[in-house]
Amino acid sequence: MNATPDPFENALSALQRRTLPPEWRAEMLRAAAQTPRVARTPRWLLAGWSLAWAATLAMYFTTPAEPSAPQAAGMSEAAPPVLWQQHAAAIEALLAAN
Amino acid sequence: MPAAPTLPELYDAHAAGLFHYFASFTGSEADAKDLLQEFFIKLGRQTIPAGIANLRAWLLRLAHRHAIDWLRRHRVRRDAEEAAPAEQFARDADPDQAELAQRLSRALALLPLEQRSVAQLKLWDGLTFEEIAEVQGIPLNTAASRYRYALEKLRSELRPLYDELKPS
Repeated sequence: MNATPDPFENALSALQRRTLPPEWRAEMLRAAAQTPRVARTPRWLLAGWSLAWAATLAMYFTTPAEPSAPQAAGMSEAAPPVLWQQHAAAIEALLAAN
Repeated sequence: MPAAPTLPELYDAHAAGLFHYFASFTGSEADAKDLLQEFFIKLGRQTIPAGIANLRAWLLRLAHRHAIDWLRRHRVRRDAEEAAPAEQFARDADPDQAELAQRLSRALALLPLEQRSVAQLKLWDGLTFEEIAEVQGIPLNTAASRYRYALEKLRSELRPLYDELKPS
């Protein structure tokens, strides 16, 4: 991929690019030095947060789920309407039989 | 592990290369200077990590993103493609070399931005195709083919002069 350059490439790359005006150096470095640094979150704090999250997730995934409550044997108030209808029909049938 | 370089050290070693790379995007010296200034301000704000294996490639990768942001902000891609990078090469006492440098600057300005920036990195920053691909975030083959197209165009633009100058 990086083959040996041919004479034409050599002739081009031998041309020297111009250097920067010397006064730019002081100008740019001064401007860079005057700019306040961005306050960064300390690494120890980031590491602490990461550990806390990792521990929370590990506990979440390793703790077994609580067993679900057993279903009520009798018909509860929350029984579906179909069951209520069947129940009412059975009572009506008993009454009719008597 | 090498210590983190200071800003003046970075400037002395890399500012000229960064400036020419920016100029290949902006097409104007004033804009390239502004970009270089902004870039060093950005560098001054952050902590430069120690132990970077290839500092030039690391800086050029940041510079590439900076230049792309600048292009997006200014929406001047078309202008940048059409403008001639001003005085890219040092003035040579040899009139033949000076002529070649002048024509080369013009020929570079005719290249599409993608090809010009790859040619810059390969010919004058001495990056390998692997490094160019990493700097610009492009596939290796794309970097190589952009360079090949750029070189062919430069060759055809400069052929008459180059044929005259080359030692027989």
